[in-house]
Amino acid sequence: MEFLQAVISSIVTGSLYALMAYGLTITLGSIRIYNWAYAEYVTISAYVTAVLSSRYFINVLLCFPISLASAILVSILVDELVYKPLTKRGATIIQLMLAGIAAGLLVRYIVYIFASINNVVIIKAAYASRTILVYDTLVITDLDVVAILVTLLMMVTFHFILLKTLLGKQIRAMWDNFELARLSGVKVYMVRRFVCVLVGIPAGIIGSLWSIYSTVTPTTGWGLLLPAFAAVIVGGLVSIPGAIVGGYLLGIGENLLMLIAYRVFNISLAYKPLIMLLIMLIALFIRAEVIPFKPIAVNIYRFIFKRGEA
Amino acid sequence: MFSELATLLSTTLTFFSIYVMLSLSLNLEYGFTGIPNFGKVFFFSLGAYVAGTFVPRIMHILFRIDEPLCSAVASTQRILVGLQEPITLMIIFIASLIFSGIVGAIIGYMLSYPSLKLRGDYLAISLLIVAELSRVFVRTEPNIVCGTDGIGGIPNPFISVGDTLIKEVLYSILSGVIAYLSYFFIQRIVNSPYGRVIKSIRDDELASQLLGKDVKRFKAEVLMFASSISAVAGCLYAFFIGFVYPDDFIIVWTMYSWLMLLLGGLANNKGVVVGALVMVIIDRGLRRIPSYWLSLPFDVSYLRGTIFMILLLLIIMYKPRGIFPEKPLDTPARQVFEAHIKKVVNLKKESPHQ
Repeated sequence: MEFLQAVISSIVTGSLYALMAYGLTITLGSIRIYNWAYAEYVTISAYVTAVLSSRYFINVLLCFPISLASAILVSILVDELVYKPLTKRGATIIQLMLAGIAAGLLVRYIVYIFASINNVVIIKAAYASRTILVYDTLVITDLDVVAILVTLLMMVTFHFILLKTLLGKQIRAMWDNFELARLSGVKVYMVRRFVCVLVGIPAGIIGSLWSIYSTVTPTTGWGLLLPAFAAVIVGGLVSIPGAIVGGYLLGIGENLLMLIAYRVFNISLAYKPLIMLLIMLIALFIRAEVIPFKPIAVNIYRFIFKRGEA
Repeated sequence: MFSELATLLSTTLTFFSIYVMLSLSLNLEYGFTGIPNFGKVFFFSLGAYVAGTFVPRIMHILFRIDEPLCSAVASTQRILVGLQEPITLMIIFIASLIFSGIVGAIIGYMLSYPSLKLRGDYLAISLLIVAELSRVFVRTEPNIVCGTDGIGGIPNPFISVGDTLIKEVLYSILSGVIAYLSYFFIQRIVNSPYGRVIKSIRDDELASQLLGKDVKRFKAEVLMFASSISAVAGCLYAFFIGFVYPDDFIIVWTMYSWLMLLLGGLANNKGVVVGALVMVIIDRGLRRIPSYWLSLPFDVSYLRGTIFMILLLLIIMYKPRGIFPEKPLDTPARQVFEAHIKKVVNLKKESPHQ
């Protein structure tokens, strides 16, 4: 039963990570930015939901669109004020990354200042999650179901937008070759704004889900961003399926592998971040071909499937 | 009044030397070699963790302290023992400085190995994530530096002097000397054939590879030197604060070292020292504000962070290579060449109508 509970929680955290990694991958692929400020979009939307629902007693469902809008607004603002001018000046990817972290920290400090003036540094949304299924020691809350369903819905929608609409076509054109897309008449900066909106939506959803799930502090988003970036690294930076797989892998690693390590080898539960680090480093080693993963995999494949043909 | 000023100056000097070591090592990595290190705080924290794990444990073994490592009693006992045994304490201090340097070098080399095979930005993000996740790990693991509580009672090596002021002044002078040594070391590296090789790697990796330079080895070695220097800085910081607390080592340290680097200018060691000076003056100055002039309704460190981040964003936008970027090197050949040019110009001036 404990095992099943761990499976469910790994799916839930995995879908949160995958959703975040999705947003990161889209920015990285289409406008070539390591969007470290993404964490603060999540923080802002989490704060909006938490403050509105616990201070002004607005229904959580009503807070949801407001927090979504705030995340999108911050996303567009950061892009217009920081990323776009830098890109126009021809900044390198390292400078953009530095600017992204600086912008994120700036937003975080402003949140800190406002939160400590209004005395809401640690806050939680006024919503108690209900359990909808109890079986032995297995407990499933409505939040788990909502998180999984929303993630699936978002992924399907994004997939549809990217593959079937004109906007998605333009984004994919930018993804492949920015200059060529610009020369072919794609309004690059307009599409860029749409990308910011697309990135803001998952951030808003994750933020408001998190504010219901747990307490919110100004470092909430940063804590969620690190595994998401690890997932992006595991998935190979600019591949969307890779990012999703990486997100679920890290979720499984954090909950399921940790549980197995705890039960079998009696390793302390404190080693959760270390397991994530290990997964990320192994992925990095495989990518750098220090561990010859590809030849081994190819040989195993040949051994299993094509033994007769050789 | 005098003693207050002296304390302020010595604290400023200590922080200045720590900042100088951090930013100079970042300059060696990014300014001279082109390795974007976004995990500066990781190597910095390594030194502090070495101080936090090694010093209390060795003191417990040497002086037979029976209290549990993390208790407050044990930390006061460590300080009392430090008062009685100045020479042993000094030896422990020097040993932990050397040890942290070695640990920093080894881990820097190990981390560089996979990442240098990939693109530069891979190294940047993987170092950043390693830094942050390792901090989360150290915070939750109680056996390294006592988890969330942090470990206290790391005695200042000059604690037996008695007077607080003289102790701080001596410590600041010592850290200043170490910072000067690292400045000297980096300056020597950079103005040697080795330095010319790493600069050529920064400017054109393929060309230097074609000239027969082992690019990956040079990069790994530079990362090794730089992380060893920043680990020593971390060790100095831990002994100065007397307390190792994992949540001190957040990404802000990395950003501050980048800010100092850009305030000075890429590949310009003197400029970077000036940048660190500007930074430490703003930093220490803002810390004094609440007690003197105005009372803020929030922690002054948030205001400091906001100011520094706005400064960093402005510099990246308008002066992306730093305020005083690299100048052509003053080599003997160039001196001869310039003297020759001057002579030619003077000759032309002397005889305008040829």
